Amino acid sequence: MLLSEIEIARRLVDLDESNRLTVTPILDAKEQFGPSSIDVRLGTDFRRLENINRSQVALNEGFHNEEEAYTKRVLLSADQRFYLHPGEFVLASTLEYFKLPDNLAARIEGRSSWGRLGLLVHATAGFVDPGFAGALTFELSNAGRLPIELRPGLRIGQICFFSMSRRSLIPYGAKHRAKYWGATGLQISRAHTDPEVRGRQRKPQ
Amino acid sequence: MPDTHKHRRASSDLERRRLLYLLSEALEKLSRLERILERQRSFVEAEYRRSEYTNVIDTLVNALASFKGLLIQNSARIGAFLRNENPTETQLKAVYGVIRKVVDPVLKIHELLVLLPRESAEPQVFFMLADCFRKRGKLPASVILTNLLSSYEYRVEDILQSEMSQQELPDLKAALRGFKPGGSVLGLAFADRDNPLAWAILAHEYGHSIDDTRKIAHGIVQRLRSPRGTTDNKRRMQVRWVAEVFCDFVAARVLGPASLIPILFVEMARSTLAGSSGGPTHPPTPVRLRLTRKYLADLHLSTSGFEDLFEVYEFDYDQKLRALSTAEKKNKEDVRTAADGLLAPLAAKIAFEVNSLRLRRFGEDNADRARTLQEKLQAGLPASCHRESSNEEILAKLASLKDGSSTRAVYSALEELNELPAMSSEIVTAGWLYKLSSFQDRLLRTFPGRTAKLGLYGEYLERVDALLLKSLELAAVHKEINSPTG
Repeated sequence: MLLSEIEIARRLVDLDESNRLTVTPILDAKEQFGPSSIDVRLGTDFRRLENINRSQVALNEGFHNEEEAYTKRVLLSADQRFYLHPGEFVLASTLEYFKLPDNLAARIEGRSSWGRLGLLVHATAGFVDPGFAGALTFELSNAGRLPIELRPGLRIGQICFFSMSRRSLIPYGAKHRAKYWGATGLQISRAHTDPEVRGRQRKPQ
Repeated sequence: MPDTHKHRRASSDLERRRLLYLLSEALEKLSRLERILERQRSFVEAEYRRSEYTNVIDTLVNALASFKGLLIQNSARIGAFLRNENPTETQLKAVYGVIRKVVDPVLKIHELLVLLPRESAEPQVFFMLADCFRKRGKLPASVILTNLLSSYEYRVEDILQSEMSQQELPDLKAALRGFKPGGSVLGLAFADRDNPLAWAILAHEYGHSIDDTRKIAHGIVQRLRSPRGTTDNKRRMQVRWVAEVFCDFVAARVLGPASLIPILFVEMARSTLAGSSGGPTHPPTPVRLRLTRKYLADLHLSTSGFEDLFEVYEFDYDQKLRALSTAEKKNKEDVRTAADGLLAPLAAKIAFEVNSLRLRRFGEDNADRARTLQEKLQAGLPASCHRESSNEEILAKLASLKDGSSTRAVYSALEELNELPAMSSEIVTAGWLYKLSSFQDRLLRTFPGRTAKLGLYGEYLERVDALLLKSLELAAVHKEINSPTG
């Protein structure tokens, strides 16, 4: 069941901690709350791919090091700007930190005002599991033909919540490999830790 | 119970508490250095695959591994110490010996990081300083990561000079003759790059840049009636001592008691008092601690949550003083008497100067808020903001809404959810309160029995760092958006 604005609000202050949803900070509820969603803001950290030395994305043993080294980290102060050029892909994060109870899932989407300018906020991964805690990573790209000026605090996305028919028995934090749990900023891909990827590394085909 | 027995028990309790702080410091330095080297390796391996440069890193990593090994070998002993409320003197001595064998060389390894590519300071450090000193736009000081010997300096010339003399390089002052001096550059230890709790010391260093511009310490000393024959050297020392207390008060005014904590840990980690504070450049730390605590009391600011560390620090100083030779001890005591004699009568004047600067004052209401924010950290959440209404009050308002309630009524209820940004000083204080109240439990989990899980302590530190960095970032953006020009 999709939660309405009042149900979301109730969850934010639920006295039962096991049902409580955390979305923090809420700067301006009047602006942020929609009928069934809360607008989320752009955080301060960005990572842009530096591709001049890379021929491909290879999920090999050195992948993590390469991602660290070949993505340029930019951490803006609150009043600085970031220009997303046409066709460019960068990682960023929500300003907000989320903590979902075991009986609530969520979905993050763009806002239409920004979509109309060509800004996409995720490539394919907008679903948030119950039990997730952390900031969410935006996979930003500019599908338009002009650079888009971005700055921390802009409401570029929105998140809606779904109440589950029963509590999850393996919420995200308790999951076998919770790769992105507790992140306080953007997270680079950890696809190389997936067993099927690691399996291929051991046995080259 | 006879008095001597009581005294011995109290002393053994203090020794036990001192070892807890020292053990946490040993694990912290190990973990932070490992993290730095891991980052360095990532870059080196990705950039220069066939480079032998990683050998340098490997050497340091292996050295750290050997000290971790030492802790692991002694984990049964350390674990027993952690669980035992009344350990014997011999047990305490043995644990102290192990910790010293780790802390001393690890601090030396820290100094070698000056040979590796230098990382830049995290931007949150500027958010914190700008907020504490109410600066909008560019802060008139930058922060450079450096080794412990050069950290806590506040001029780039001093930092470079210190690093060059360590490496026996030519005299920097001669090389730079004719150039204008640069601005304030605050030195921060490499290990504290991601550690906002240690940044509290930068408020003190920033105080030096204020003093440098306004020559406040110089003015105070100049107004002193000095006995005939006071040498220039003695005058210079007096100015430096007054400047240190001035900066302690500046830091205490903007950050409260948390401003004192990093320096106490730095001093406790040192094995002896020789070469430590209390000389021509710095008055002895116990004198500074006493004066600053008095200043905080005059501001009606409680130091609850920090008292234990203050007491243990004084015990540690006392123990180290006892270990000195008679001549060294006399020298330290003479310096302490001289510092007390000069600074205690000047404390009110120094406080007046600091209070006249119109700095943002950390008050008891901020301390209360920090205590509430500490609960957020405990719950694993960033501590960047707070709500004015309680959850119960907001729920009641939400419950009063019915189908058909006016839009105005709905917005009025929703607006109760708005959060107000915390001050950086509240965040740092909350961080210290959380750490000081949680580290013992983490030590117990790290040394559960015959073996040690040293990684657990590293994860704990990493989590605290991440939450505090995020909190500072959130609060900065929050304030910017709430500002009239935001």
